[in-house]
Amino acid sequence: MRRATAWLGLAAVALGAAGCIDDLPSGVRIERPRVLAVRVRIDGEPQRAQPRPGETITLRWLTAPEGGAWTGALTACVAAPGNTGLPRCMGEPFAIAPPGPPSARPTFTLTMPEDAAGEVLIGGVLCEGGTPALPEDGLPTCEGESATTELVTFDLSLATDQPPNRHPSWDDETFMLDGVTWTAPDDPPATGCAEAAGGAALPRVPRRGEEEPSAVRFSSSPDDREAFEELVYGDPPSIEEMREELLVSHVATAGLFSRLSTEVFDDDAPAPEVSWRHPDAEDVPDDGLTVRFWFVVRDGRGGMDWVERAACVVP
Amino acid sequence: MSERVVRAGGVRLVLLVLLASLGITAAARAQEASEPQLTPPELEDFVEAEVAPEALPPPGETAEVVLTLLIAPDGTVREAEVFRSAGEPFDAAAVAAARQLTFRPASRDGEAIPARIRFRYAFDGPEPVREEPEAPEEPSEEAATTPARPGALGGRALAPEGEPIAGAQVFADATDGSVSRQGETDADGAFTFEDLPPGDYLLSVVADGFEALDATETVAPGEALELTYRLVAAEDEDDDEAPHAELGVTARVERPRREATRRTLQRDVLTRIPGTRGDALRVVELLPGVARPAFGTGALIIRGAAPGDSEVFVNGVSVPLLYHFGGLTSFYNSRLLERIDFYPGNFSVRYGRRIGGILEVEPREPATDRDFGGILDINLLDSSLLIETPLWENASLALAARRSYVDFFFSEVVPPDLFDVIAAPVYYDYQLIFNWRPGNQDRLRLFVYGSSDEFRTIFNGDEFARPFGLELSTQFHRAQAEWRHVYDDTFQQDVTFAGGWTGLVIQAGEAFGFDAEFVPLTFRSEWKLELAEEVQMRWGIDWTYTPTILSFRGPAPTQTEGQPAQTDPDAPEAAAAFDGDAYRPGIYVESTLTPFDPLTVVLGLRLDYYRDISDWSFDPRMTFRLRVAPEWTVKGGVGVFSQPPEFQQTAPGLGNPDLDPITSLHTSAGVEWEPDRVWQLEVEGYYKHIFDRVVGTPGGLPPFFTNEGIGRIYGAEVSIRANRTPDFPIYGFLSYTLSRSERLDNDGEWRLFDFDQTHILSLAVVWRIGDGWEAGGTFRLVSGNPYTPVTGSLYDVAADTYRPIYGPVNSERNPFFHRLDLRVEKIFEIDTVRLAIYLDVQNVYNAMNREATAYSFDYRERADVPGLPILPSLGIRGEL
Repeated sequence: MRRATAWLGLAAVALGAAGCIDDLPSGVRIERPRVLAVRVRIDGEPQRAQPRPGETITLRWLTAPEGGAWTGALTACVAAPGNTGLPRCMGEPFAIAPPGPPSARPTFTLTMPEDAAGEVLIGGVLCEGGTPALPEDGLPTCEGESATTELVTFDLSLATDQPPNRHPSWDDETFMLDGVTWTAPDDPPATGCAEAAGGAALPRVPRRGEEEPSAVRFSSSPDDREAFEELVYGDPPSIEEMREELLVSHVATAGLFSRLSTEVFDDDAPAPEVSWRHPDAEDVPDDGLTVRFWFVVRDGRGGMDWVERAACVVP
Repeated sequence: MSERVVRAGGVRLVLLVLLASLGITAAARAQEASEPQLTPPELEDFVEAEVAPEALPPPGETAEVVLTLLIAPDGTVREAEVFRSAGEPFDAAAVAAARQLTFRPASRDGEAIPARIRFRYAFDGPEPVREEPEAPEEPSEEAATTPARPGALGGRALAPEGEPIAGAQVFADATDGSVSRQGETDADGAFTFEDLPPGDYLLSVVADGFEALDATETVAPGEALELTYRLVAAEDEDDDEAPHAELGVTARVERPRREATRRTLQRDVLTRIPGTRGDALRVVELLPGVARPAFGTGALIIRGAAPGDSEVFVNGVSVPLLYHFGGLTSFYNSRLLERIDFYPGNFSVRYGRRIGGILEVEPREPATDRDFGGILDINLLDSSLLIETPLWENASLALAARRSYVDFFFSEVVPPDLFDVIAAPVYYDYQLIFNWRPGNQDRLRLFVYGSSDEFRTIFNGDEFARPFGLELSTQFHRAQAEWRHVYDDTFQQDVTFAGGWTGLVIQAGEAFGFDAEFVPLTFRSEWKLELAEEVQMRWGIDWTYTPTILSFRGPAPTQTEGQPAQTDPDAPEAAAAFDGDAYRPGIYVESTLTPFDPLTVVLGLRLDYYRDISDWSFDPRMTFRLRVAPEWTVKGGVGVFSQPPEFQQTAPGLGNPDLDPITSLHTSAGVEWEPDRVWQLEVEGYYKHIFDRVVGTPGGLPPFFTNEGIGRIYGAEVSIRANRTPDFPIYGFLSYTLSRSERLDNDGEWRLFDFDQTHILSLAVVWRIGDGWEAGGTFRLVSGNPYTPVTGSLYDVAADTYRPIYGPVNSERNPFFHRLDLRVEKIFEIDTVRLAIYLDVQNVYNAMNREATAYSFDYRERADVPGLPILPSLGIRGEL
C-alpha cells in the first residue's frame, strides 16, 4: 500500500523530467543509421509469420537511411521462459547465421529444428560500416572505427495447432499526403529534388510553419487484425480471446511526426492520420530537400510489413 | 510560591502550592519577544476538606492527597485532579474542597494567565490517647545511650547550564507530616535544613522560570545529605518528559526511558525547523538513521530498511502514508501534535509486523483553559484551519483541516497539447480530536482523521493513439476511540479501537491498473502493572482484521527493489480479482526490570499470526540502559523482528501465498552524554540481518516470489542536540550517519540496497533573534542513491522498442546531494491574536541535485533529472 506514495513520487519525477526528455533525440526522426524492422519470410507462404518446426525462413531487415551498408551476425536458440530481464537462450544456439555481404536490406536464412516448439529467440548484431563479431563471452560488437552497432533481438513464435499468425500487409492500403495520393518513391534524388518533384511518388511540399503540419493518412484493413488466444496469469491462469491491435511506426529523415506511433484498434474509426511538422526553414535548401519516410506496421505477434515514401520540401 | 500549614480541629491542612510551569503557549509567546516577569498564583481563600470523623485515619496517622489544580486567570480553580491518592473518602473531599479555593492568579508581566499547581491536603488522625504506663519499664541500654540523632538536608539548585539559582523556594516536608520546613537558596544556589528528624522527606524546589522539582529524600540519623538539583527550564520541551497538562500550563513527570533508542521530537521545536514549511513530521527526515528519500516519494527509509519495512502509527494505529503528494507536506496538522516518538530499531514488542523502524505520532489534547482558540495558516501551497474549544467540564474538542490548491493553477501551467488534466494534484487532510476525562481514573479520546491525495490526467489521445491516463489516488479515513482507565497507582489499562477505509488506485493507461479497498479494523488493549518498584509489566493484544477488495491488471508482478524495470514487453499479463481479508492477531508481554538503580533491562516477547499466509512469528527482544555516571548512559539491545510479506506478494494469482514472514535480527549499542539540560550527545552503532527476504523468482515466473533473499545493514549514528531553553538563543541539532545497506537476491552476490546512503549529514539551527524574530537554516549533505548503469541497448524488433542493457545492480551512485533551506519568521502580538509571517525557502541556492536519469529512445544519450528547485513558501499564520 505504501507503494502508492512511491508512485506519486515517480509521477512527480516523471513530470519534472518532461523538460529533460525534450532535449533528448526523438525516435521519430532518423538521425543515425538504424534498424527499423524485420520480416520473416517462409518459402511459398510469404504472408505467414510463424514457421513450423523444420522450416527454413528468411529474415529481411529494414534499415534507414537509404543506401546503408549493413551486415551482421545472428544466432537462433530456443528461448528460455521468463517475464523479466533480457531474453535468454535455453541451451546452445541451434543455428548461426554468419555475416553476409554488406547491403541496405541485409537478409539471413535460418532453419528451425524439427523438434523445436514454443518460442525461438533470434539475436545478434547488425553493423553499418563495420564487421560483426560474436565473442564467446559478452555481447556481439561491430568492429570498425565508424561502425554503427545495433544489437537486435526478435522473439519468433513457432506455429502451433492454432491458425498461424499472418503478417499485416500494406499492399492493399493507400497513403495520402495532405489529401493527395502518395505512392512509393522512384529513386528520388538525394539533393536538388525541386525540379523532379510534383508527382504522387515525390510530392512537392512547400514548407510551412509549426502550426501548419502536413497530414499523412493511410488506410487499414480490418482483416489484418487477427484473433488469437493469450495466456493471462491469475488465480487461476486463463486463456483470453484477443484480437490484434496494429502498431504503425513512422519515421522520417527530417521534420517531426506528432506522435511516436499510430495505433489501429477500432474497426469503425476513420482512416488513421498523423500530422508531420515540416523541417526548419534553415534545413531546407532553395533547390529542395528530399525527405524519406518509412511506415512499419506490426501486429504485436511478430507479423510486420513496411512501406517507404518520399517528399520534396521546398522553401 | 507559598506553603501554608493550617490547623483546624482535628484536620491538619498542609497547603503546598507548587508552580509547575507557565503554559506552553503563554510562555512561548512571552519568550518570542522578551523574557517575561512571571508571578506564581497565591492562595487567597482557603476551604477546608472535610470528612466524617469516623473516616479519619487512625490516631497518629495521616492521609495525604496531592492534587493538580488548574488555576484560571480569574483565580478560580478550573480543574482539580488527584495526583497522589490517599483513597476514598479523602480524594473526593480534597477535590471538592479544592474546587472552591480562590487564588490570586499567576501573572506574566502583570497580566493574569492560567497556571497549574500542586496542592496538598493532609488529613490527620486524632491525637493518640496517652495512657499512663502501669509500670514504667526500664529503658533499654540502647535507647538510653543512643537517642535518634537528627540529620541534615542540604544542597544546591542549578539551572540547566549549571548556573546557580538564587532565591529559589525550597520545601522539605516529612512524608509522615511531622515536619515541614521552608527555605531559600542563596547566591550560590545553596540551601540547608539542619536538625531534621530522620525519615523520608518530600523536597520541593520552586523558582521562577523553571519547572518545580519534587524529590523524595531520606535523612539518616546523624548524617548530612548533600544534593544537587538541576532544574528544567519552564519553556524547555525536553524529549524525555511527558507534558502533563493542556495548553496553557505544563507540569512534568519524568518518564523513564525504557527503549535503547527513542528519539522524541516536541512540537514547539519541530515546527520551527527550516525547510519543512513548519511541518513537524518532515523533521523526521533530518534525524540520524533516516535516509533522504528521492524527491517526491516521501518514503520513510530508516536504518537502511525498505520503506515498507517501517510503519507510521497514530497512537498505536497504523496509517498507510506519511506524506502527501510530492513529499512536501505530511498528512497530520503539526499544531495538533504533542510529540513524535521515533524508534530507529530495537523497538518495543508493543510494535509488531515490521522489521524496520517505527514512527509514533502522539496527538495532543485540545485546550481546556480558554473558551475558544484557532489557528489559520495560509501559504503558497495549502491552507489549514484549526479550532479548539472546551465543551464541558474536562471535555474539549479540536478540529483541523487542510487543503492544497495546486489544482487551481496546475492546468494553466501544463502544456495543453500534451495532456488534459482531469484532476490536478490535490490533497487534503483533516483531524478531529475529542477528549474527555469523566473522572480522575478515566480518559476517553476520539480521533477522526483522514487524508486524500489525488492526481488524474489524460495524455491527449485520439482514434489512433490510445489516450494514456495516469491516475494516482490514495485516501484513508479513520475513526479511533481510546479509553484509559487507571485502577490505582500501579495498574492501568488502555483500550483502542479503530476502523476506517483505505482506497488506493494506480492506473497507468491500459497497461497497468491497481484498485484496492481496505477496511482496516484495529483493536488494541494494553495493561501496565507495577509489581514492585523494580518490576513493571506490560502486556497486550494487538489485533488487526482487514477485509480487502482488490483488482489488478498489468505486467506480472516482480521484485521492485534492486531490479530496474526489465519487464519483457512480450510477457503475459497478470489479472486478478481478490475479495478476502487479512487477519493478524498478536499478543505481547514485556517486563521492565531495574535490578539495581542505574540499570534498566526490558525483556519482551511477541507472538503474531498471519492468516493470509497461515504462519506465525515469535519475536523475543531485549534492551538495556545503564547509567554509568550521572551524565553518561550506556545502552544496547538485541531482538528479533518479523513482518508479513506485502499484500500483493501473497495475493493468489499475483504472488505466492506460501511465503514465510520476513525476519530481522537487530543489534545495537551506544552511549549518551548529557552534561546538562541543553546539550545531548549520542553515539550508536548497529547491525541488522534480514532473513527470508522476499525476492522475485528468476525470470519473473510463477510463483513470482520466494523467500530466497537476505540482507545486512550496519552503521553508526552520531547526534548532537542543543535543546531549546530560555537562556540560550540558539537551538538545533547536528546528526551524522555512516551506514551500509546490502542485499543478496537468490544465489547472487551482495549488492547495495536501492536507498543505501553512505553519508547522511544534517544540520538544523534556529536562532531566536528577539522582538518576535526568529531565523534558521537547515543544511543536508547526503550520498547520492545507488543506481544501475545502462551499458547499452538492445532493439526488440517485434515490439519496436529499445531495451536497456544494465550493468551490475546499483553499482554506481548519484553525486552527493546538498541543499540549504532557510526560514525567517516574525511574530506580532495584537491583543489576543498572535500573527506570524514566515518565509520558508527550500533549496536556497537552487542546487541541481540529480534524482534520476532520463534516456533517449535508444538509450544512447542521457540527461539528468534534477530534484526540487528553489521553492519559496511565504505564509501567514494567525493564532487566537
